[in-house]
This record gives sequence, structure tokens and C-alpha cells, in this order.
Amino acid sequence: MSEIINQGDQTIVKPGMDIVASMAEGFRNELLSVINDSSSELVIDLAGVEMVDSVGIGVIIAAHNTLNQAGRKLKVINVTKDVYGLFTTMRLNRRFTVEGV
Amino acid sequence: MTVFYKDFEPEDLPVPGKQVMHLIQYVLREDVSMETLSRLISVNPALTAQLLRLVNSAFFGFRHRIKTISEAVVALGLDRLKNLVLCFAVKEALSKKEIPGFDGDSFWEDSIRRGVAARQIGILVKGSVEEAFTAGVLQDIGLLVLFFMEPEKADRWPLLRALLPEDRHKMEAELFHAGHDSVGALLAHQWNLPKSYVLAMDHHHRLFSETRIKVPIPLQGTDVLSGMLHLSDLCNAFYTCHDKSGALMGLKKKAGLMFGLTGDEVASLLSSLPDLVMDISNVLSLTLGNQPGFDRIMEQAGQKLVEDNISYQELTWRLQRSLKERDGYASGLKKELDAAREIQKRLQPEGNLFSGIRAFNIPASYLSGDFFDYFQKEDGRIYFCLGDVSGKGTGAALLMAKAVSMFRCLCRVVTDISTVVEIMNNELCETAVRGMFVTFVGGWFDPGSKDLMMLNVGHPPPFLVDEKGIIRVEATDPPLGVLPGILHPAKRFSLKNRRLYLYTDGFTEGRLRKAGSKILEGQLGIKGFLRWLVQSRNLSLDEQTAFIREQCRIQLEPRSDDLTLMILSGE
Repeated sequence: MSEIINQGDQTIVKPGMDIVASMAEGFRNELLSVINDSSSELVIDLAGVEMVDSVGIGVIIAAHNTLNQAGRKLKVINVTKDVYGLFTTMRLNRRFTVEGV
Repeated sequence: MTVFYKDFEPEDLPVPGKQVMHLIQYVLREDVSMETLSRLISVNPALTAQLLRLVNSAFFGFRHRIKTISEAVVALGLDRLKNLVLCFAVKEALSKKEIPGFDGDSFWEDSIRRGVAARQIGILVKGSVEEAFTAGVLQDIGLLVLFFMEPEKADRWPLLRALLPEDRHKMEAELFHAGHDSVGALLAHQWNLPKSYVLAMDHHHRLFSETRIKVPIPLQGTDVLSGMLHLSDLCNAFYTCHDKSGALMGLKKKAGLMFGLTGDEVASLLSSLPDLVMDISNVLSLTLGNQPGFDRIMEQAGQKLVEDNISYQELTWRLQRSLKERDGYASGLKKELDAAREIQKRLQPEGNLFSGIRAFNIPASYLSGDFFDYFQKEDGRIYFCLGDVSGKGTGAALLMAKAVSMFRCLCRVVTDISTVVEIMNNELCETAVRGMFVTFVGGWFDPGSKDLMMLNVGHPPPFLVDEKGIIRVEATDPPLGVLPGILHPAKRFSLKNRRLYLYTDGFTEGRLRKAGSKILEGQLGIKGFLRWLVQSRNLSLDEQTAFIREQCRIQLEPRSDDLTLMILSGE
């Protein structure tokens, strides 16, 4: 269960655990719920997240696509070096903001 | 004699009317004469009528009709008549007070069945027949007293009636904090009934519990009557309780251990009860419930026995059937997976169709989310691609099939590789499901000029390796299926004296396995993978491919991820 913080014009979602296939479905639903319940920028805080697999990346991409259709932004912050490498290798940092730890 | 019933006093017991009490007292006297007894009975019209109906019933089977109590006294004998009078008198006394909501007829029906059963047992064991009948009828009057005391519990009677005697006795203790045996014995004692009755009523449960009766026991004295009452209770249970097979088994076992009765004798005893109960009930004007015949009850008991007996077989059979169904489903599923795997294999070419290309795909499970393809067009160019679908399993395999099919079809009609990949991306974005995407490298290679055009979208960087060094071809755009639109154009390279390595992250993110006592930790990583490539760069394509396969086998945990490699050589 992610921690959700409303902070000004941002809604911050902190999963606090690795974003992998086993938890992806629940995380996807949480993100969709947050996106539907707010109109602010969505920030996914990956503090404490050491691993994001391809299914997890897919969840973040789906969130980005949904936000993008509504003209809203996604930011992923506190990304570890390894996960940051994954985002840059896939050039996802060109679609949304990715900030390292 | 022990009475457990709290706050229970002898004064609480029902008291018969004066006339009936007078009769009981006389009946119990040793010196009562036939004349006196006849006179005392005759002044009670109801009792007289019941006795005459009884002696003329099939229960006694007299050939000639008995019209008066005097004739009955002569025909039955004094002792038998005294027992019958006692039985009817007590019943009459206890029937006068109604218990709201209590089905008295069913209680007396059971009492009569016990009495009749006890009498038939008496015949079999050559005991006191009429004493057995009366004691049998009266043995559970304590329960009636308990309901007198706590009439609000009358609705529990059907439940108690449906239990085996031993279970019923336990439930009574929970319900009333007393047992009918103790209370009945107290009543019998209070009414000055014969001591043999009092003891038999008091002992007919506690002396013969399941834990006590395990070996043959010679019964003596008053225990004989107690034993007969115990068996008669089981006979009644055979007709009233749910666990008919339990009653039958218990009855056969205990009748054998107590009196040496055979199974046939028990069956004969049980089969005689319905008609006799009907006779006596008619005499007493009782309304009987539905009376199933002996054969029907035996059928039910037999069915239960058979069910118990075959329950293991039934379970085994069901388990076998479930396993067979499971195997059937698994077999069907496997056939479908086999077909899917076959189709997936056919979507990819053999790994050695051309001299300058080698490729392989090792799925981690049955179906792969990785893929590669290459084929030559009429202009001599070899179009190639390698990709990795997010996730695993059937969903990934379906998306892989779509991507690789699109690539081959589009390349047949579109020359520009950038356009091909762009169309693929737009199509996958349009039909994207649940954020699934495809990391992809596609391009063409001209074997004559060694020219190479290539586009990387979201995929780990291919390596161009020659004697001078390694060139990483980084992705220029996110994976296919993420966002539609214009992509960066493909890049041109020369493959002259170089090898191009396309691979999936199954290599670089592959978990290192334990090697002997040395535990290698973490992933192979890009550096580790490059080390393999450099170590084997002077080998032929076949040898290098074999080397890398062998390194995977030795160093990587098996089946952690799909492994796909393509090597293009411009040497």
C-alpha cells in the first residue's frame, strides 16, 4: 500500500517497495485512483525502491500515458543509480522527468 | 442413587391421583389377591378398557376373546397382570399433566417400543418377560419429569429423540444438568415401585457405556434387567435416531457381549417390533407417527453402512476423477502451449541461415517474450530485428508475435527502416494493453557494402566490436508502444571488419549461479557480458555462439530470463 501525500500542486505516491510483477497490479490501481482523484502533477517517489522490472516500468508508462492524454505531467524522483540507468537506457527520461537520489 | 439435577426435590415429582396411587400400592403388595385386584381395576373404566384391549391384542395372542378383568386375571396370571397394571397406572398418572409443546405421543410410542423390545429380549434370554415390559416402558420416565420441570425446553425433545442413547444421555446432562436414569429412579423410589425397577432404571445407562462394554460380561441379579433395558433403548433408537447403522452395530455388539445373542436373533427381535408397537399403541389410543417398516429401516442402516464403508473408495474415486480431469486440462493446456510454442518458433528463422549471421533464443519458460528475425530482400539487404516484450508468459508471447510479424510484413513493402519502426510504434501504441511495451532494435545490413542502418528504441545498447574497440548504440527513443509520434531516424554504421551484437537483458541482468564453493553474487552486468564477447572475438561465429551458450550454462542461473542473441559479422 503506497503512501500518498498531497503537497500543493503535486500528489506524491511512495510505493516504498520494489516495483515488480508481483505487486504491479495493486500499484497500477493505486496510481489510477490517484490520477482520477486529483488534477495535479503526479510524482512517484522511488525512495527505498531498489528494483523496477519491465512490468513495473509498464505500470509507470501507463500512468504517464494516462496523464499525458489529460495534459498532465509525471515525475519520478529519488531514483537509485541502477534504476536510473534503466530509465535512461530506455530513453524514458525523454518522456517524463526522472530524478536520481 | 445419584441425582445431579440442581434444586431438584422429591416433592417436585409428579404425583398420581389417589385412585391410581391406591391401585399401584395394592399391585405392589405381595398378598394382593386376584379378586381384590380385579375389583380395583374394574372401578377404573379407562384402565379396564386398556387392559382388555391389550390382552385381546396380538401382543398376547390368546385364541379366545377375553371379556372381563376376571378372565384377564385368569388368562395372564397374577404377576403378569400386576406388571401391566403398574405400567398403565404410572403412564396414566404421568399423562395427566400436559407439557406445552411437548409431543407426548412420540414419547410414549418410544416407551412402548422399549417395553416391547425388553419383553422380546426377555423371551430370548428367558428372563422375566412382563417385568421387562413394564420396566422397559417406564425406564425413561425420568426424561418426562425433566420436561415437567423445565417445560421451556420441550422443543429439544425431537433433537434428543434423534440421538443414540449414549449421546442423548450426554446431551441431557448439558441441557438439564441431570440424567433421566437418576431422576426416573428417584421417581420410582418415591412411588415405592419394586426395587428391581428402581435399580434397573438407575443403572441402564451407566453400567453399559461404550467404554465399559468391550468383552463378554456375565450379568447377574438386577443387572440382567438393566442390561435388557439398555438393549431395548438401542432397539428403540434403531427406529428413531438418525444414525441407524450406529444403533444396529451397537445393539448387535452389546447383545452378543451381554446375552450371547446372535445377529439373526437381533434382526428377528427388531423386525417384530413395529407390529407389536402398533398393537399396544392402539390399545392405549396413542397417535403414532409415521411408522417405517423394519425392512425400510434396515435399508437405511445398510445404506449408511455401505456409505461409511465405501466413503474411502468414493473419496479415492473422486480424487482419481479430479486428477484425471486435471491431467485432461493440463494435457489440453499443454497442447495449446505446444501449438503456441510451435507458432512462436516458426515466427523466428533458424539461427544460421546466412554465413554472416548467427542467432539463438532460449526461453526461460514455455513461451518467450524475446524475439529475433532476419531475412533477405530482393535487393540483397538483410533486414533484422531483435526485441524484448515487457512481462512474461502468454501475454508477452502474443505481443511478441504481433511485433515480429509486423516487422517482417512492413519490411516487405517499406524500404526505410525508420518508417517501419515508426509504424510499428504507432500501431502498438494504439493497441497497447496495460502499459506493455517492446524494447526493440531493427535495421538492415548490406552484405556487399557492409553498410548497416539501425534504430534502437528503448533496448539495451547493441555493441559494435572490432580491434579498435567497442561502440555502444544507445537507444534514441523509448520502447515501442509507449508514445506514438515521430521517432529519431535510424543511424548508419559500417560493419566492415566488425561484429554487431544484439542481445536482450537476460544476459546483462542474468543472475550468476553458485560455482562450486565459490558464490558469485549479483548479475552478469554489461561488463561481464562484454568480457565474454572480447574473450571470444577471435572465434568463428559458430564457435563464439557456442562459447556464449556455454558461458550461460556455466555462469547464469537457469531460466531466470529469456536469453536472445544475434551476431552479425562484417568480417
